[in-house]
Amino acid sequence: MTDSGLAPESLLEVEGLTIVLRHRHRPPASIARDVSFHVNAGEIVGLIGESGSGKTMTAKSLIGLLPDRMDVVSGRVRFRGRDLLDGDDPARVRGRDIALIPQDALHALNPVKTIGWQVGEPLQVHGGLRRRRIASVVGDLLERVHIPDARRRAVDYPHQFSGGMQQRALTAMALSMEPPLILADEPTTALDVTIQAEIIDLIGELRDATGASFLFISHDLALVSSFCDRIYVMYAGEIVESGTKDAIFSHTRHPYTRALIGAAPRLAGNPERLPTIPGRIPRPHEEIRGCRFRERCPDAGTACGEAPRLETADGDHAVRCWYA
Amino acid sequence: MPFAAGMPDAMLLVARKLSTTFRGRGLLRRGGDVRALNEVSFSLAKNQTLGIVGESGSGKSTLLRVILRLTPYDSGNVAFDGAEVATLSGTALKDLRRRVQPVFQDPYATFNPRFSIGSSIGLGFELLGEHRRQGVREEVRRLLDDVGLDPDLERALPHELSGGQRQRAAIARALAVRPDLLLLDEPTSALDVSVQAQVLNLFKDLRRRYGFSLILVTHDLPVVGFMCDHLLVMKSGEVVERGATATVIGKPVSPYTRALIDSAPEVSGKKAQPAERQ
Amino acid sequence: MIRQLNWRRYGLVAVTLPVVALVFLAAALAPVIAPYDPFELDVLVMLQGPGENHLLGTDELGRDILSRVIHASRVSIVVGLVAVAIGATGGVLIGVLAAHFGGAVDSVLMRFMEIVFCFPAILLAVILMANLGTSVLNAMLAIGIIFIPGFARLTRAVAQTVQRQPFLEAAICLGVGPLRLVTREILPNVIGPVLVEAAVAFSYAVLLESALSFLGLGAQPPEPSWGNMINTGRGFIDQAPWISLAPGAALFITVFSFNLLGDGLRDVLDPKLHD
Repeated sequence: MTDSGLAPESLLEVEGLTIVLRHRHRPPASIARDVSFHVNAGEIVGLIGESGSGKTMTAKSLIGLLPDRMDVVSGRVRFRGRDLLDGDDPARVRGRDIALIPQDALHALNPVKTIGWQVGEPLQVHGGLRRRRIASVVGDLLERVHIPDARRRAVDYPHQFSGGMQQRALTAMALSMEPPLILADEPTTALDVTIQAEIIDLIGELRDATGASFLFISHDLALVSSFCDRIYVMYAGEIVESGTKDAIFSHTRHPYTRALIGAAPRLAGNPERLPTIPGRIPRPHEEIRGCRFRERCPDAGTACGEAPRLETADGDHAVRCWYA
Repeated sequence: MPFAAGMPDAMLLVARKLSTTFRGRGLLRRGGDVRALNEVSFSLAKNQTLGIVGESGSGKSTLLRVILRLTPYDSGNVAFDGAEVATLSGTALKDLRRRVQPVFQDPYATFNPRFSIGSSIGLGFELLGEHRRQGVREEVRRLLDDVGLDPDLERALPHELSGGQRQRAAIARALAVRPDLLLLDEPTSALDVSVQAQVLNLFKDLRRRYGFSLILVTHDLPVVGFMCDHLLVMKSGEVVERGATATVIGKPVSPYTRALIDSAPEVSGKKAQPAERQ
Repeated sequence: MIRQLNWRRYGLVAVTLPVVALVFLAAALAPVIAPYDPFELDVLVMLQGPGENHLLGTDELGRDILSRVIHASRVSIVVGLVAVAIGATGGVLIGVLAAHFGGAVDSVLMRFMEIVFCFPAILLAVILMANLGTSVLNAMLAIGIIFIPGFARLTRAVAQTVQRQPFLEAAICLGVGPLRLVTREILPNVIGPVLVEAAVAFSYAVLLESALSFLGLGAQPPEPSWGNMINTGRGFIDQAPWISLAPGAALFITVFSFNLLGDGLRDVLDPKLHD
């Protein structure tokens, strides 16, 4: 295992996770293959990739929310030393141990229930607190995510909140059971940039205040680069590079990560043309021999006919490439 | 153009104190009026690229729609090549329609789902007067090739294309009528970073080849940094800052522009700063 | 290239279309395939049960029920087609106009449609015929008018959705004129839902025509129609139930298969279900 020698404070360990999509007429296609990563206590970890990389399904599998035709066929997910895949009912883990901040705030909130009711719902389901106590906890939670005039606005309905405020309310909901791990699935994609920066700031602040860990799923390399401690880069169902923020951005080793960083425009000092990646990401059912990035890789060589393994280079920095 | 109104020759588009208000609609909802544009002035020279940035509700998309004459305005004026857009009719309006082409954000909704890509792009050539079926087809195939798509995709239905392919096809449709000005409304915000890079490069290449001017509306400051030589920053329907892109980004005057620049994440690993709350 | 039939998409249509075709064929070829003249009286075989000579039996005047059922299908089909044609043409026109102009035009047209919609079909037919006389033609007219609001509402809803789509604005910006905008961009999107509605409306027209004939307001005896046959059979329901049952079954099969056809068309016409 490439992720051996885990630090003792590791909260979540995923090892060799493989998810397949069953198809009626075709053999099953792999959505994620041999994915291994870990999240330590109090860490913000970024899981990034473009559409089709398998990042979202990897995250969903952790809380048992895979769509009907997808299954985890191998691998281990250990949360605080407990195996999540066989044994516990994922529904019991959800919310209490691992909470989710979903992407689309407006559709994630029930339009006919008040914000306060929805933030307090997990407390009712899991907690068995008295009503008055719940109201006070909800007020605290909304204050913690900086909703102005929180106690009064708890009786508002979702449509009375702006997009940024809705996302804050969802964050409060995720925090309600004080879970040690929070999955954030592109929680800022639908928001304006200044609001996005506020939410990102809030996540950092909450981590410092509660010691909770975050697994931040995003397609936005630039965003992730600004605040995650460690980053895993996924391509076509595989993790191709992982390491600290500094390692990924200042000592980039995988050609795909390098291409992705180069493809993003900057505020100033842009080249005349942006470097691009030729071709497209392979679909899950496509049979590929050797490295999955080979066809699009500028550095591909003879060794790439055989699939490379994720090898740890130095310290925490791992890369899946023969020529890195 | 016959409608010269004392404008400098090189100005393609001039907006002066453009204002428009969305009225609260319905019998029971009064006072819901929103000032969508408030005395917006700017100009665009021939061959210029102008980026308009702002957040949702800043009026940037409304401004585009006013230029396209999809939304009316209350006061001020906007002139394309010396002719007031609001008063055009008949042939002059048709001419404006042809010379100013939009590319919208959502590549899924910009094609009629019932028609093949080729048929939708071919419409432009038909409007230019090419009525021979074979002639239209050849032009469509050439144009698809120009935007980096397989010409055989002419037969594909919109939903059979990927997001990036669809946006390329939308660009091809806009170019079919040989426009002088392309208006892009968040053309890459639904696309992945690597696809965005391809589409942005494509705009640059095509501009060199076809020689159109360009207005790019976006919330994404780095995209403007790459694409545009001029920049207009909007907030709540008003222009808060404008100038050469490098100058505005390098030395922003307005605190709002500064906030936008600070909160734009860049791959350098710079920490995005939340704006000060007013 | 021979490919396996996509049952999810074409299944329903594949099953119902032959039945519908059979009904149309029977109507078209009635004089050829009917074993007897539907008007021919034969007092010797009055009220005879289904048997060798008369497959579905005979009525109180000794006429062959099978031949009358086959001939009666012509009335039903013609009424259905003409009524749906009136309803769809009027409705699509009004719906497109309402969506296109909006504002006051829209309000006036749609309020008027709602008034028509509130009118019970039978009542409208009765009023119409009280003034114009009872005939199949007036029955078709009455049923057709009843259908207009449904088609108008459907068309308006679809047209309004289409009008908000960026692809329509893209076409406007290309300089496409208003007429072409409607015929090229809006109508093709309207046609699918209208066809589905038409299949269902057709079955309803057949049912309504039978009801009107049953009440004596449609086809006039001795001209056979399923409705007046059921009505005649009413008096002999104890001795000769087949007089009512045979046209009733024909009515049921036709209405049911057209309804299913409507559902099936919905699947076939969805461009996103293309394989």
